[in-house]
Amino acid sequence: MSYQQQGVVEPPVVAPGAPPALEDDILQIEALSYWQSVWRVFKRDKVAIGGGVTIVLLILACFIGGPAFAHALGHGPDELFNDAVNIGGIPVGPWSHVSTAPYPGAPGHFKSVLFPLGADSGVGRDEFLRLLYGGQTSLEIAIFATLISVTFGLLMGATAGYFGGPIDMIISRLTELIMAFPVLLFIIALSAVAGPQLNAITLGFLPNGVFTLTVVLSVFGWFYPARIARAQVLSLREKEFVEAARMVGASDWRIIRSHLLPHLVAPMIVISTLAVGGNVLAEAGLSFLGIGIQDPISSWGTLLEEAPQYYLQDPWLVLWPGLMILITTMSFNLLGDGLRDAFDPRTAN
Amino acid sequence: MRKRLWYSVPVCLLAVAAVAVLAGSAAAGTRHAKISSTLHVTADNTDVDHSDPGLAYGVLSWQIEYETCVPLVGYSDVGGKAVDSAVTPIGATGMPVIKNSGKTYVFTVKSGFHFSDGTPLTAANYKYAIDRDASKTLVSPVSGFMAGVVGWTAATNGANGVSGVTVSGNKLTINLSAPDGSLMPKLAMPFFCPIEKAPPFYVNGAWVDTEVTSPYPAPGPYYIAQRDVGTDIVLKKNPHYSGPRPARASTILIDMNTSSAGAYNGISNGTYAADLNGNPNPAQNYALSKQYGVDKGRFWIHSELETTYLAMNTTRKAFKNVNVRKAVNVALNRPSVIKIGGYDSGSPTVQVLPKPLTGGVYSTKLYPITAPGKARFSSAKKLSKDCGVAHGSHLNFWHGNSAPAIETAAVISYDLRQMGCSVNSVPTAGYARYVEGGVKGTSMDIMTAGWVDDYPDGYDFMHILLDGRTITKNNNNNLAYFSNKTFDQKLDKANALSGAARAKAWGQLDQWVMKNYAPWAPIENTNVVDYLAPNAKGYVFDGPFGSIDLGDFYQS
Amino acid sequence: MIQYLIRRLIWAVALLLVVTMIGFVLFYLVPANPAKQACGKACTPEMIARVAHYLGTDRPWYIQYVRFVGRLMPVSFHGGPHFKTPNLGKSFVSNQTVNRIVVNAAPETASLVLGGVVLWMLIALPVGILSALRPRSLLDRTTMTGVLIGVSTHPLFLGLVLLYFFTNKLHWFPIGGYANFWHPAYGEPSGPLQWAYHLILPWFTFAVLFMAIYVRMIRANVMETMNEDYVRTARAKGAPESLVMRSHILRNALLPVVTMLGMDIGVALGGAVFTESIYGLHGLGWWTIWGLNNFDSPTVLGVLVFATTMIIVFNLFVDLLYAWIDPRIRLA
Repeated sequence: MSYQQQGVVEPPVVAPGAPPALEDDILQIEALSYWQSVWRVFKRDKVAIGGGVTIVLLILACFIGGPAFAHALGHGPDELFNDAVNIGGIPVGPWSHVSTAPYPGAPGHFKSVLFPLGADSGVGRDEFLRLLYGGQTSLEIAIFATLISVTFGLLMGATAGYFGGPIDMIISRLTELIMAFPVLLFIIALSAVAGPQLNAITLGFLPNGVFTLTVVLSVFGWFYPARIARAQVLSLREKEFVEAARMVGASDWRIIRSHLLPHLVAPMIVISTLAVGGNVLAEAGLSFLGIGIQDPISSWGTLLEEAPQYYLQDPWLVLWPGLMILITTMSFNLLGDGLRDAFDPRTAN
Repeated sequence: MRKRLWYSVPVCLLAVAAVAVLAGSAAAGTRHAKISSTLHVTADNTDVDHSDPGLAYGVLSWQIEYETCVPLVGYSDVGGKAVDSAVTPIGATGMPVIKNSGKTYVFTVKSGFHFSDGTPLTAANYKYAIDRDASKTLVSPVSGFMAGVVGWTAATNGANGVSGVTVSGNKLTINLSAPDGSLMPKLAMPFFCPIEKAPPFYVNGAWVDTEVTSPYPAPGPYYIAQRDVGTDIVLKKNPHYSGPRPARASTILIDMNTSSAGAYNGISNGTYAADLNGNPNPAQNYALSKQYGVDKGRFWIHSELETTYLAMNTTRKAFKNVNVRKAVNVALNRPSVIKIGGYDSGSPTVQVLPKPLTGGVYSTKLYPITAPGKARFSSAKKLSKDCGVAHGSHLNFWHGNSAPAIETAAVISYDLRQMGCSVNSVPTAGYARYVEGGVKGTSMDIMTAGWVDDYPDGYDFMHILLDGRTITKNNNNNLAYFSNKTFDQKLDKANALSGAARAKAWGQLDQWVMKNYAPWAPIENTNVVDYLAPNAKGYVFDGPFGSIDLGDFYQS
Repeated sequence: MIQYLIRRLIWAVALLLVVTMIGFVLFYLVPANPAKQACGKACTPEMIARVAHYLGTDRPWYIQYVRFVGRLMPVSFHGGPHFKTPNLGKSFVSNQTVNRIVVNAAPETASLVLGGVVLWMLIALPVGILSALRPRSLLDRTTMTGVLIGVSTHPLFLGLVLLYFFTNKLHWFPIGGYANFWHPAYGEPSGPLQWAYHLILPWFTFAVLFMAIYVRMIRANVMETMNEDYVRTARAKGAPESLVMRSHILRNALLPVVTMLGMDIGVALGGAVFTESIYGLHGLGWWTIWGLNNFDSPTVLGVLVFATTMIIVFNLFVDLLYAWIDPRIRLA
């Protein structure tokens, strides 16, 4: 099997002055680096590529498309239009032209604006724009939470695995402790207690409530990366190259940094990708319960929260945010699975 | 092994299918229509606040107590007609004898009523309820109304019973320290429903002066037979009731905390006769009104004596300035907020009192009640000088956290922002908002609130909600923390009047305070919207309680 | 083995104490003052102080915590040691004992979770094993697509969609609520058939996510085990395929599944919150949300402690089971 791996076959050594005929028939094969071989495998997984492309498109749509469409449509995601809610209090349906008059019969001439997906709720805002801007919020939270939890988990797990002893015991016990919690119940409790104070923290650029959810998801998201990192470090710790490095006199920190961390990159990338998908789901659930994000900011979860009120009259309001969440999570899962297969030497044939 | 595995999948599927079929047939069995002596109703997303008569203080709990109670005086309903708002004797033989220049009331208790366990109802049962309400540890909310009764305050401090209330034979005497023109409507509140000197209120030779959540014997047409907090209440017909009140169903089953969708579906398919919390799907109001007509059989709309408003904390920097408060009244989008509650769920108002309490002095022209456009927003912005708030600070806007409450808050926040304010949205649970807002000196700048009348008189609104003299360290109802000597003087003058002049004085005071001080931005007077099942019959709406009369109601 | 047992027991008790401490500290910080809430609309400060004293919220937090833990323990030392029922506290809002709430709520959550577990294992086991035996077949590809969708769908979205189609449009299932397995009074639907009928959609909604995860895990485990050396040896020795399957592949592939199942009960209790919310099942998750929306700390705390206790006990049981099965642990 291993002979098939690209880059292992070496070009034949040719003695000087020998007839060149053989060389022409033999294809020169270059040695590939680790990353290049990973990329080769990954390239073949069309579905994973599809997932990656979808993610890029989503990010573009939300962060660039959002403001672009707002400009093109002439209104923002937080603007209220009375005409977007009909007399029964029901938001208008997709592809509606909404008058900008404050109330029917108001004196003066008022132009109409287009709501591509109709109104979001009884408030009367543009669902399409709120979907795009909401994607910004959901993706921000999911990505930041993943970055923090994976980084922190990696550090904790590597430290625990490498140093062992009491540090390992504390960290392992801590992860066991958290896993004993009914995590979601605890997240709800934590958010309700500390929520209002956390919601007010914006760090200058984040919308209200984003910090809360990011913190909450990070606090409970680091133990899985830590466990994987720890397991990986434990198995690597006894390998010969680590022993060799120690004999040469390398410090602990240098060993971790130069010898162990590179081996952890692959599993952490895979975990991160899958974690983002999981965090998108988690954020949707928490926003649905009313935790974290406050008006007028929207996220896919808050859109899902407003929608069921109108399930009889506008059932599609549940569909838009739900589909966005589904597509996003699926894409991250596909990407993560593809990356995992690409990094795994056994599936590299 | 492989072969066996192959079987397992189809076998599993068969099993699932079998269960589904069996279940489906069981379900089909329950779809037959039947004539029922059980009235099955629901209350979506809510439970009664308390079932203990000494503590119950909500529309739903009072609606239930109307069926279990024989109050001394109350609102009459005989033969399936809606109650009127005049207080009449029910447990008493007639209106009380008033002596001692209005400071002594003597009631004679009617004989012939019995509790559901057969015990006859006597004057002593009323005294038991009063003593228990006033007890130190029960802390009944009615104590806030009854300080004028001799001995009440002493009882709340630990004395044994209210000395000013005495029983002699079938006579009940109440002594006041000063005349009180509103004693009669106060006595009509279900806090004064008579109780027995027996479990669960009297156990092992001592009164239970803490909340009782279990069923108890009652003298009215029904009594509470079962109570599961958060889940249901079951009322059963009192076999010993011989009064004139109707009791059509022999059992009333009230399911609490159902989901909105579950309640709405249940009504549509006849499982629930009605939702006691109103139409659970208010977005359907318009469709229902078109399909069934209004007040014709299945869809009913009644006004109630309630005002929903924005309380603006006049002690905070933002709303110290009266122009900012007036600007909020100009910028507020009342129609949008009302639309969120459903079609015809309320009528916009700019006054404190609901129209029936104003003696005709009622106007919707003090401030605009239509939706604002750019013009109104800019004039509000100018009037308030950009919300008067220093750049960078937020208005702390406290509001409810249910889905419609959040939508309402979104509309109001938008209006405030157009006016130049920056808004910090603080969702809170319903009751908690009042409790926290009632503490003097919190960071609440503006909050949504509502007030339903305890009894139909303007004093109930004006004194409790806007009288500066009632402001204490905590548990305030004057959420605007409004304190104005002139207002207080006018209030005292109006309170001394009676009849039509009294009502008119309330209306004038109302318009005066809104025109000159605008401590509130009133939003609407809400309507009670009822959607009934196809098999619901005997629908009677009781005005003073703002709810369906459960004794008249039945399913068939 | 005994040593292992004792160590696990001590760890379980320690976990429980830490959990109660964290939970309690958290809820002592909840802003709404329970005494004020209990008092009602027209209350004077003196009344509120009286209520605070009665409820015990005027004492320092550590005194309250000690009383709380004392109430929780099944033994009491007042007037000599004796057994007593653990008391989870009393709701300030409804003045109901949390015990009563939990007694009513636990069967609903248990019905949902255990039924869901049965459903997802019933489907995940055969599907996972079959897919592993036939990699890259049509069945396998379909399964993996289903898995992908299953792990990417939030139970909320799934539940709302199912509710809309199956209850609202097709009227095949009731729109929620719980039917008592035994018989309650007063004409509510009850009995085993109604119980199952009301739970079919909730079971499915709840199980889908775990079903997907377990199909994937079982498939991966079986495929990995099939490539192990000892399987090759067994086959080389001439053992019939059925014996190889049963004794070597399945046993080793499914052992980790048992462990995961134990650990997933904790996750499941959390995930049940959404299913309970949508279908109106008044279980532990539903009551937690109710308690938080009404600022009722005893309910939330009591339910949290109860749920965590159940998880810890269950995990202990699973660990002991694992130790009994796996001789490496037993003899350690």
